[in-house]
Amino acid sequence: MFEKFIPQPFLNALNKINFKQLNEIRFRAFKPVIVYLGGMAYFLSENGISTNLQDALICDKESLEEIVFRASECSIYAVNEQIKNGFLTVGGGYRIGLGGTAVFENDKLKTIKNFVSLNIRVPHLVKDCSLLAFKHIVENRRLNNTLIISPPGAGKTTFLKDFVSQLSQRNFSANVLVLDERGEIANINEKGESLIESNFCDVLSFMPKPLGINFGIRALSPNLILTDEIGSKEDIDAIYHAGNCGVNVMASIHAASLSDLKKKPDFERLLKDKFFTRFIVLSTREGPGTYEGIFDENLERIL
Amino acid sequence: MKILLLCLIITCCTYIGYGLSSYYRKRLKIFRDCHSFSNKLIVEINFAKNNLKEIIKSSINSYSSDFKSVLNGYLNYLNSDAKVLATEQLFKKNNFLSDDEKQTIFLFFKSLGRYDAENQILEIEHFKQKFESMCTSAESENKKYSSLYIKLGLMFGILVAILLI
Repeated sequence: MFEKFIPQPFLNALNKINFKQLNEIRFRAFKPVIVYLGGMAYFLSENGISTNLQDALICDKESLEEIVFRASECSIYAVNEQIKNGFLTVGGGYRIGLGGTAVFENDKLKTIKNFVSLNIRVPHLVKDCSLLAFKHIVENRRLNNTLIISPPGAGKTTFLKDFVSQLSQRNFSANVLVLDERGEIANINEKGESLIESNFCDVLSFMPKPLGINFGIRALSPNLILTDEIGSKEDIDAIYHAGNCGVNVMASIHAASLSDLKKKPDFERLLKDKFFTRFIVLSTREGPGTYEGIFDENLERIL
Repeated sequence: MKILLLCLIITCCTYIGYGLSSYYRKRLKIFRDCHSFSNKLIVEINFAKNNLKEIIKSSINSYSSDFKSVLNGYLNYLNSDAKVLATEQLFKKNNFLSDDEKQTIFLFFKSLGRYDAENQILEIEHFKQKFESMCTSAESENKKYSSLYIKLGLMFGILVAILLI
């Protein structure tokens, strides 16, 4: 997939490194390219990786523009809504975070241009990574509303993907709606195939959560809605709406711990109402996907 | 037999005249195609927001062979890992366009896919106007010279036939 949007010298170097361990690639204008392997940062060099700055491949401005152009399938106008949100998703679930100059018109963000940094996150399927939590989420064939909590890059999305597959493998015939606002969870490739191994899964891609939840409940009658990175008040209202319609919710959120979560003003209501009955905290302490704990609706540790 | 030979000479000369006039027809066709491709892009970008490859693939067969070759050259660039588009990629064997005209078409293709929808449409509109004026001048050239070459060919054929009689 990389060959579609990464310029040749960087691609040759990337082909020499262990792809299974690759988490992230960071391109910055006129700076060395940095790759994260198993959570550790290295310079990308002609021979693969290096800890020596002198061996590092330097990224020029044209390469950044070219990556964005190629990643947009040579049609930036077609992905401008994504660009406005600061990222670009490439078939297969690669997410490219964008840094550059924001262009505003009448106080509205129009686009981002003059890209100066890109952060390419490499998706992985880590089989059985949700298994430890599975029995706490599905109890007596009933689903608990679950919130996955972790800082960025700690395996939230990977957890969600594996959980959907686990449900299907166990013939838990709940219809799951994956509300994939950034095109990362379902990993739909250019042929329209989803890489999630599930027979009971529907996908709504690139739809804002409030709209997607309303639309999905009406159109696809899910038993469980699964979505990534909730944050705004609108997201929380939409989640309440799903709950009131009798639909279970599994979502993820950026926070380092439960105490961090409590500090988020909009989440007070969710915690007070005990909407979520399971909280799973992940970290990168021993690599992405490290379980820090599973908690119940009273925020008491189960595991 | 002689009459048949004379008819053949007249036909050949007329055909040569027709062949010479194709230079003007080709120019007119390619500018018209550029113009209609611009219109197609504006509609697609405004409404469907399909990507460039899809737009080109879906419409390539509706254009003249010369513009088709330009589009194929552009598609090859899109599918390659080349960092920049080169003029040679678009105009492989094209001797009926001036360097300036080639440059305009080249810049048009170079600008595609690089902007958000609004600015992309503005950019295409700007080139569309240029193609319109190129079309107008190519049309008058075609009117003036295309029929002239055919007529000259026919007259030359008749002249040769008369001389042979």
